[in-house]
Amino acid sequence: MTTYPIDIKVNGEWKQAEVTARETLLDALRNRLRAFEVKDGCSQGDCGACTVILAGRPVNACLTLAVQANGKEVTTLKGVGTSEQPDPLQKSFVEHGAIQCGFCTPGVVVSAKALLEANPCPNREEIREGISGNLCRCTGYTQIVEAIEDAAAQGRGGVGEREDA
Amino acid sequence: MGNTRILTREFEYVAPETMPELLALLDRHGPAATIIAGGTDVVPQLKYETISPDYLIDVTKIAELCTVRRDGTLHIGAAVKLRDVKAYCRDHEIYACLDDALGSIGQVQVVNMGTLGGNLCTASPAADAALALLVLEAQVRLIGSSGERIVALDAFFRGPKLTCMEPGEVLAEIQVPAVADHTGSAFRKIGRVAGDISKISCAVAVQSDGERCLSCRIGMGAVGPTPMRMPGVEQLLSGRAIDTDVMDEAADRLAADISPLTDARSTEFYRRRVSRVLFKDTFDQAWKRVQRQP
Repeated sequence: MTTYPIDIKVNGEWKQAEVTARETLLDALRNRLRAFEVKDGCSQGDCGACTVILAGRPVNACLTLAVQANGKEVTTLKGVGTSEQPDPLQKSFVEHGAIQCGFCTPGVVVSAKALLEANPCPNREEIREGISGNLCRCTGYTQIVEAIEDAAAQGRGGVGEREDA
Repeated sequence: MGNTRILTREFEYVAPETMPELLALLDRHGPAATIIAGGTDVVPQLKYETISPDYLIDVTKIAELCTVRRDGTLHIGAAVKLRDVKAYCRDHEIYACLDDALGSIGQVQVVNMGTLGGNLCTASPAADAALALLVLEAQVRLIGSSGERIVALDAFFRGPKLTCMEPGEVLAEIQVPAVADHTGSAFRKIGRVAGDISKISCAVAVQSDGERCLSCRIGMGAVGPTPMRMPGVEQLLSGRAIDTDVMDEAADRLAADISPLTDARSTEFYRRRVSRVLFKDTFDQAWKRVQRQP
């Protein structure tokens, strides 16, 4: 079986892997690079749980072949922020109760981060559009939208991290 | 359709950087090769095992397939991402229906990954972008090792998931001719939820002098084997002053001319009934867009 060496910059760090053509980026991230923050939901591009930012744009890792990501930069949830150093967006999700079972959250946060980077002051409509590729079966999206809205408002004030958080 | 986790088939991956390399690969591997661009259709098909290639040829490294340029005619490389086509249309209102259609796909990730050429080559009767391109009278440039040809989009589609492309041919470019003055266009669809695959879709491009419809192009999606033009309705409306009676007459004709099926997404009855309304709403929006023009 032919294998292909790939270099992917995951959350700022170049990683090497030897993959087969039939491995998706999701497979490679989880199974080879142990990036378990990337979730495997429907695996067919409907739910968005596996969303990562590839070369600056959110994509479904389950529909991207690992070989197609060769030489590119990937940002997963852990590149947005970690438990030790959460992004204001992640803090906002916690404060707004925008998480229930949490399975969709990594994908939603990554999509929201990409949205705010492209458009720091989105309106509600734009927020809804920005997370339109992410399904949440628990919250009904209201808290998610509010959390993103609030994080954007904080960003507008020029405050990177909230003092009271 | 059970498995979506594993691609069971073993295949080789090749990513040529020029058209001659691509054509040589297609000639060498013939039906054993499948082209992949954005992967939003091909990867699920690999998972469902509805395709089983030995070679997967990635066309996204070929520069000429990834550019947009305009010289009167708009030339969109087949591997240009839907998102980039959408950004272009947003800045050029004359392509409003294409902007509507790409916006209706929703799902940011899919729009970021999918390509315009992929949307056409999948040849879904419900393809949103294809329907908008149909009323913009787009053509496609097909290249094979023995030469190239230009085909009008309504001749390109031959049936569900079927196109007129010969083995070894590649869709290189989509060409959208200059849009006549005083033309407005719109696209609308009905899906279960926003961003869903269409149950019914409609695209309209209409040229008007403010009162009369000088000419129009009407396309309906998911109500026949391919995205279809509605020549009977187009003729009926051409030269007519537009009022509610004329629109009712046109809607009756449209409902008679489509050939919808009952499938997982909708029923024949529903599609025929609701097509009338969807058509009138879409036409109305295109009409309003002409009136807004200076």
